Amino acid sequence: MSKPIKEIDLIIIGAGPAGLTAAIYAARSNLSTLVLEKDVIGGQVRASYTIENYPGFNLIKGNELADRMEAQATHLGAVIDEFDFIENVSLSDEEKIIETGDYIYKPKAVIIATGATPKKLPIPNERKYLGKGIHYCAVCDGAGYQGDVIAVVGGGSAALEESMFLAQYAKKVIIIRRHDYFNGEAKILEAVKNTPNIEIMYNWDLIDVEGEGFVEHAIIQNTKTNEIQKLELKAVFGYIGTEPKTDLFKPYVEMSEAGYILSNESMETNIKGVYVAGDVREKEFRQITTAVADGTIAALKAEHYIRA
Amino acid sequence: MVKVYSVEWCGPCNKVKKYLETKGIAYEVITVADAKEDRDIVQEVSGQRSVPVTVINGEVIVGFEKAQIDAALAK
Repeated sequence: MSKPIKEIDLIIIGAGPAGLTAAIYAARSNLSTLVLEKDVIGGQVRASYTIENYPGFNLIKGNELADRMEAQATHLGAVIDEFDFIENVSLSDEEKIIETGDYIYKPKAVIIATGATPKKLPIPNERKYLGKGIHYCAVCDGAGYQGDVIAVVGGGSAALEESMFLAQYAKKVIIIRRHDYFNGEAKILEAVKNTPNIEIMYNWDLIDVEGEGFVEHAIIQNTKTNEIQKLELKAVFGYIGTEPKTDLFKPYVEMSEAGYILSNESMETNIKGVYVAGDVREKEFRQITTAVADGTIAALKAEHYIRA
Repeated sequence: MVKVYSVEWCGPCNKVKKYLETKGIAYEVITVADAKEDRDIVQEVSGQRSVPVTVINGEVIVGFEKAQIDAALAK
């Protein structure tokens, strides 16, 4: 049985801030627009505890900002399908085909906004203890460690923010930081330093975790002296950066060595009618604000392309 | 009976619930955020501590795994 073919103006792949903003602009331009999302609508925003650098909100919960963006896009008529997954894509100047479990879509233009996913902790026992003390979603799994000692690994704003969230539950949060500085925002670092049950271990790196079935301790190494220490703890949350989600597009779209999709400042890729937006794009700063900017530009360019 | 062990604000948890709703499947929610003891239930049921955990016809599924959910429902 062959799948039904659907012709449509625009398919946006990914419903994070970049994809949802593109959907808002596309829907307001009356383009028939479908957003496909494999994971959660809102992307990394939905997994963030609080956001304090999105204009218009002094502080907003990640899931609330995600809800608002989603509601705005769907209210305007964009359709978001989060249960029909992409199986194949074929992208060329002449034709774009997106095959999902249920349909074969033939859109006039495509915006790739698949975003990025948290990097796995590069330790030998990562797989073995995944969900058993190795975690990547503080708002999902943090409450399970009420009254325990836990650690966060990382040096950016995400590591700092999620440490603040986890400190509400844990007896103590230890931030394991390879360097003697953080890349995260000064404001959050200040808040972290003022939280009595957060301890920062500068110049230490996570080497591995061990335990009887579940994580019971972490092995850490001093990056200056090479001294090894054992930390008694129940969990390690990884916030060591992200990596792009681009496997589907590798045969077609030009990417950087690290796998981010290359574009010009109009979000155009090497294929006519295929645009890129958000964290999946090769660029210097990956913020919610830069993602929504990318999404805006991609949608406006796609509209011009479709109507030309 | 389908059971979903979850916390209120977790994206993948809500996605599991929404998916079951689109399929017209009744389910029971066990919210596990409030106390550590509740989280121990997650560990007892699934042998690990991440949510969501969905139990369908005796099959234990961790995370939103559409194919696994479909297969368990088809049993």
